[in-house]
Amino acid sequence: MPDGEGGYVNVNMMQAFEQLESMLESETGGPVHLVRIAGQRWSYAAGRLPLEESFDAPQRVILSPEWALLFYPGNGSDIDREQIRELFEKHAGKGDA
Amino acid sequence: MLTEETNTSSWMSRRIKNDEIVKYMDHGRDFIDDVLIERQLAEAPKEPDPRQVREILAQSMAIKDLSPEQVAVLINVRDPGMLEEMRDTALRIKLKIYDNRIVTFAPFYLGNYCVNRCSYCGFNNDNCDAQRKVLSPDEIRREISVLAGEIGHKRLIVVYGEHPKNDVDYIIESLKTIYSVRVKTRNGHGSIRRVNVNAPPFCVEDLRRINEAGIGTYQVFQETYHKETYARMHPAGTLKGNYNWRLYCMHRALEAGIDDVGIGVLFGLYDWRFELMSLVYHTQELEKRLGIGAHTISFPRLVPALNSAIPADWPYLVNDEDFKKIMLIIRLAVPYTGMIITARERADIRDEAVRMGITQMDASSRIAIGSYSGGTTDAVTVQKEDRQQFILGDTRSLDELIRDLARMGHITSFCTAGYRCGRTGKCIMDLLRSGTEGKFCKLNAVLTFQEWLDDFGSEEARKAGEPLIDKEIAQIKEKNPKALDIFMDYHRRIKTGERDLYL
Ligand code: SF4
Repeated sequence: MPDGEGGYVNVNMMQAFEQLESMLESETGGPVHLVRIAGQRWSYAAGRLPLEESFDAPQRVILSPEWALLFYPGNGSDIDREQIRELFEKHAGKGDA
Repeated sequence: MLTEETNTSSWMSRRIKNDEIVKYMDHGRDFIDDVLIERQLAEAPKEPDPRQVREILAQSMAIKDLSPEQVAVLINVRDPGMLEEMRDTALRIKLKIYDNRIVTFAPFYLGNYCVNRCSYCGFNNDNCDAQRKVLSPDEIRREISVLAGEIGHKRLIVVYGEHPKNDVDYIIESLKTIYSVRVKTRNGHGSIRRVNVNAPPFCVEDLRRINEAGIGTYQVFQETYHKETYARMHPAGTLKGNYNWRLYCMHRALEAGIDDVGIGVLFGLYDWRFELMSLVYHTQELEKRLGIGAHTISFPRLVPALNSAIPADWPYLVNDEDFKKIMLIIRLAVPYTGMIITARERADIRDEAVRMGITQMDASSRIAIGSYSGGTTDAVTVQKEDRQQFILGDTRSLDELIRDLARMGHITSFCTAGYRCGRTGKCIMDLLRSGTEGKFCKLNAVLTFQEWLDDFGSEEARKAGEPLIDKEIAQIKEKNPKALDIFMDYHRRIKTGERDLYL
């Protein structure tokens, strides 16, 4: 569950991501990456590699001050960011919180 | 009351954490096996068979790492025709992965206090002639105003000495200060968007804190991998005297979450052949143990320093021909790794390096503390031996370098998008290996180059740069039509003064 500052407590983000990755990919038609935010830096944490043919502009969904998702849409699909965020929160919140 | 000396000694005594060395070692042994390396060098064919060399080159061209044994074979190539084939392959690899882009940056020295006593360095603690200084936040802001607001840099390598005055808290605060400066320019605004850090080795906990500050690459150079030479150059009892604390620094950095790390050697301290083999062992060890090899490799070459103990007839000084061979072999051995050549080298060597697979160069560099804002002609043309670690060989301005590169068909990239888009660590390595990163890079290179030309370029630089941009855009249209709409939208917005748009 998100804590008061929008971060996640007692939730293994990597685990949640692994469970959701294929579903997210089918929603967006391209690879999805979980990244860890440290100041300006967004470090790759998990997600299918390499990105092969995908070179659409990546789209961002910030999950918390520490974590975000990057989508590389395969078919130019417009991602409903709020929906993705809610989905992730719901799933991650079900973890070991 | 404690004296400054007592404080420094107690700070030094807390720095090295032995358990953060031993845990990475293999039954108490490190990964640089001097005897094995010397044997591999001795056993490599003295006159390599061209067929064998060509097989090795084909492996590099397929973007596959070379083994140390294969590197030893390339080291022994002396035949001019074969060397030409190596040069040709190195350039083709560079173009395949990085295309015609050269990323540019500036070095920024924040202080020259140092507790160490390295024999070859003008900043060593025994050098009483060096003028010591650490920049205050206001001084940092003044320097960045010049770097980002007058020269137009977007990327820095910030250099910190090993001293309590330059400790982790100072590093974090200075990074915040650097990132906070925003300066009005001719058509938009300038700021520093990526700060790479060249600093001493830290423990995992300190490295975590540095990572949280949002750095680009973390660089620590081993200087020499040869243990006997290392001990001779770095006196026992100093922090730097601990070979393994330095050797395992990148293991700790990767464990701390810093997933872009830069390694390097100060060529000229020991036999370059041994050092080259060791660099390959180092990056392969990181990849094997932690899943991510070196993001960049640097290869500074020893040059005179004030009060240096290295004599002019030191047997390991590297001549120009061998230095070029070193660059070629690094490009071939780790085909996708970034290669940095700094302004230590003369302009003619750096221009040649561009044709050998180099990916990053600095320009308008000043390495005396506080010298970007401290007087223009003074700092560039009259170098301050008592305030700099070494003497620069290439004092070209960024505008001049950009023009020279453009004449050679190379576009100067100010791109800092990758590390702000999750293209770091294993991701960036895989993208580079598969050739996919180039698609992003080309777009971002053109966008950032356009920004620079509009904000800082001289009339001549614009004349040299604009046709290059037209050519790049034509290529994007042909090879990357999917990205064209968004790219053209960003390009138009940059022309009207918007800044820092990236993909
Ligand atoms: S090389 Fe670095 S560590 Fe050694 S004396 Fe110079 S500044 Fe200090």
